[in-house]
Amino acid sequence: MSLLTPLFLLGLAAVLVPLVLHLIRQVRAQRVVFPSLMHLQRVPEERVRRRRLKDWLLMAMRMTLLVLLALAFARPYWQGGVVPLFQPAERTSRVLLIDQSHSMQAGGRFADAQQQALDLIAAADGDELAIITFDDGAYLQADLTDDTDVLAQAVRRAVPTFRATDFFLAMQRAQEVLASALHEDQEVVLVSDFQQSGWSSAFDEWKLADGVRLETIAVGEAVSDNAFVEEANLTKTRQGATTQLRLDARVVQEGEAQPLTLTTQRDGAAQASARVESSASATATIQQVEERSGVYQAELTLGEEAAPWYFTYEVNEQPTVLVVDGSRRIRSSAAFFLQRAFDLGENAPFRYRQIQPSALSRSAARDAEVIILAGLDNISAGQQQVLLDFVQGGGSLLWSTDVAPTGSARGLAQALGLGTLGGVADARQTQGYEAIIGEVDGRHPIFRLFEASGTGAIFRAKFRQYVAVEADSSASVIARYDNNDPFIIEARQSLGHALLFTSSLGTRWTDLPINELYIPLLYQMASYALDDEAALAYTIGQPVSLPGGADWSVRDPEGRVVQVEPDAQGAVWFNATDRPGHYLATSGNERVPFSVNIAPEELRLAARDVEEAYATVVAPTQGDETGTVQEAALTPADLEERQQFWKWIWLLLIIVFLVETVLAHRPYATRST
Amino acid sequence: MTTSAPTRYIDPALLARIGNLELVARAVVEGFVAGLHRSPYKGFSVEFMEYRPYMPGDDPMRIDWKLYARSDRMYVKEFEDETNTRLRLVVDVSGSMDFASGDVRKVDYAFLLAASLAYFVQRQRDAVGLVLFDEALRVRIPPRSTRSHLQQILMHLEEAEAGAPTQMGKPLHDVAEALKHRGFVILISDALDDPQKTLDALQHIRYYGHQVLFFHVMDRQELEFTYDGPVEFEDAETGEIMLLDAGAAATQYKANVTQFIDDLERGCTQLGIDYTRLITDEPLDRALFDFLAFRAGKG
Repeated sequence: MSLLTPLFLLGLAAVLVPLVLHLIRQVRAQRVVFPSLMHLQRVPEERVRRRRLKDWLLMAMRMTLLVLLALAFARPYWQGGVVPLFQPAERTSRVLLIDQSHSMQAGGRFADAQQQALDLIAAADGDELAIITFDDGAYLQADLTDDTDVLAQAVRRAVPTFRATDFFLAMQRAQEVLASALHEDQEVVLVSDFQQSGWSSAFDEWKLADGVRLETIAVGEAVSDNAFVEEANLTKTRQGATTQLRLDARVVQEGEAQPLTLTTQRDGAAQASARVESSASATATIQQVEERSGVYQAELTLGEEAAPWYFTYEVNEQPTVLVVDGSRRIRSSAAFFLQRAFDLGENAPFRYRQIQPSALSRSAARDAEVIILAGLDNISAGQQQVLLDFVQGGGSLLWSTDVAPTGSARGLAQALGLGTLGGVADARQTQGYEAIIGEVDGRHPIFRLFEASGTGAIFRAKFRQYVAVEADSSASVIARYDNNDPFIIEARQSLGHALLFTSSLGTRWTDLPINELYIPLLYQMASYALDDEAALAYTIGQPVSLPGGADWSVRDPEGRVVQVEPDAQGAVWFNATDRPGHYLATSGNERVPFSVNIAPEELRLAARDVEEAYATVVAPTQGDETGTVQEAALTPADLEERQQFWKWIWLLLIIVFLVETVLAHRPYATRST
Repeated sequence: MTTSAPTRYIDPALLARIGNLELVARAVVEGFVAGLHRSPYKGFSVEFMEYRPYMPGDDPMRIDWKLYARSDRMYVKEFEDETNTRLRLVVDVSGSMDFASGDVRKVDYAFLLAASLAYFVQRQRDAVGLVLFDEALRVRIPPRSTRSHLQQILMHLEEAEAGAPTQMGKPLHDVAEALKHRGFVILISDALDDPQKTLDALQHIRYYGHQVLFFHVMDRQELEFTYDGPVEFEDAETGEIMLLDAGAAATQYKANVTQFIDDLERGCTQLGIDYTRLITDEPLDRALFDFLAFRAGKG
């Protein structure tokens, strides 16, 4: 037993007061010589004895009152959390966190976790429990209750998902639930495979609240061998009437690495394969030729045990480049040079079309794979939406200008996520000479060719004027002028992307069109637009943007159809990417196929050390250093606040006081003689 | 009963401070008598008993002028009461009488009373005798009506001290056996003994035809018992000590005392004995009145 405020025990000195008074009272009894004790002797002895006894009893009670008073103020508490002999059945409020992420499907882990949870429920004995299942989200299946039937049903209802793991969200949710707990003793029980990839750095700034205990239950045996495709890159190259497909895939092996075969399968049939080296991480390349245009959905497989990697790609016989020409000058206009670059006949890599801005419509955009905006100043709201839908639907937009941006142009730039268009910058005036290309992202597919060739010819192009742009934080500046202003900005929008060319593609502002690398640059940008294989593959839980303004029906890999309607802003988002496989979204005659894969980090089954995980969640304490279960450190004030002995002492004090009051004033019963 | 009697306002405590009992007795009696409308007592016929020399203060009417003529000396006649009105003052001088919660001890009060009665009776030329007793008879003076005899009585009263334990039985029985002639017996006592013993003894006295008046002397505290808190009561006679919560014991004590008084009073009534309870802080007038009433009733 310890005392929170021991100084109050000095008050015990007051206990001597009743004793001293009692003794003084006895010593100072008045002596009277009385004529005779004959009448006094007839006072019942019992009363005398009772009076003596009563005096001692009253003195003892008064001393007890003073002792209890001093003790109550001293605030005693029992260290160790458990009060022997006086520990009422302390109830616990407990949250069971059950991991239902994809990794829990391996090796019967989830069934094991369910059983562990059911066992805990059966042993609850009056405690209140809550059930939370989690993957990359946390879901309250049953709020705090002592109804074991409700809890057991919640556990049995749970099923593993294909989603990734987020332990942080789960812990936060658990703590939120405990905020309404009935009991002071609180605990979180984590039943999981403790997958390494599920632990984020968010725990650096957040810990489980003081006083909340954490118990960890690891389920599932370690998986010895595990192989999966972590990511894949599809490159399409148009060669005459065929399209060369190159699939570069990174294969990860956990456990003992062994040689594997990576195969593309489509409609159940193998298409091509490649050998994977026995390594923890290896790259394998599959090449195949597609002769017919169309949208294809295929899988990369490593065998029956490994999860396939799904992807969707489109093959175009002759992709269409649609130029929307808004320029008023003919010979210096971008359209003039663009036509010369692209319109090369039937065997050209691209089919060239050119329209006036007024002809830009949804139907016009539907047939194009690449749209180039050249010299547009006014873009109507309808045209903005057409362009936005085009990009979000997987199209590529290349936007160049040789006019000062208008409000509508600025609006389009914002909508595409490119940034804020400023005014026209004149390099000769601002820096005294024309700007040149100062820096390019050599790793970007557009410039990879130029880096590889080692030529610096592209840097000889001069730019007299350009539009100053403040790039959006989500956009990428892939090339800059020598004065560091953005030259080419890329923004991804759902399935497609937009490239902003801040100067003209004609000769009005630059001599780039007469540079020898003008056409290669254009072709690289156009080809880049056709390489959007990644945009057609999503991960579990990732929302998919569909062209807005219409209702869509989405069929998932199991054939279930989900209806999706536009939101208040007219955008259409499909969020039910809950399982891996091929999906098909349709709206009228429009079809958007896409694929969904399990997040690659979720495919890594390696588990984190449980003790390490525990230390991540629970703040450092001075308690148990050995076990995985460690009580959160409780200060003496916390212990005393939990036990609140002082209340019981005050109750006892009041009882003693009442008894003393009654006893002190109770008249003697007279005995009838 | 007049209200102008000076003794009515004489505090017994004041009287007790007067060292001379004779003076006190005279003051009490004279004052008492002076307040009466008329004296109901005429005295009794007496027979000459002896001469004694005249002393200043004697009643001149009692001077034997014939003898003076013969001897040139003044002698007064002393007469013996030839009636059976002999008054015996039986005074308790036991230790219990030596108690005072105020200024007057019970024994002092008893002596004042006895002295006053003796004076009063002697003034009426009645014979008065004295018995002092505790557990035995201590002083026994036969009744005489002479002045010298009164002084002898007063002297014994002045010299007597209370001390020995109370015995109401044997001493009073001895008194009963010692009284040769019928008369009046005035018992002045606190009677702190078994009431039955007291009554038996008084009955013995009554058996011999004596008229008995019992002055039951008590101190105020004996009656009211206003003690409170822890008190060590020491028996005045035995020295026994009893520690009590006086406040708690008061109720039962007073009940006991009331019973005791009732027993005595009832017993006296049954025996034809006049019973008067006197409190030591009350003037003696009442006692004298009661005595007069007693005399009138019995005489």
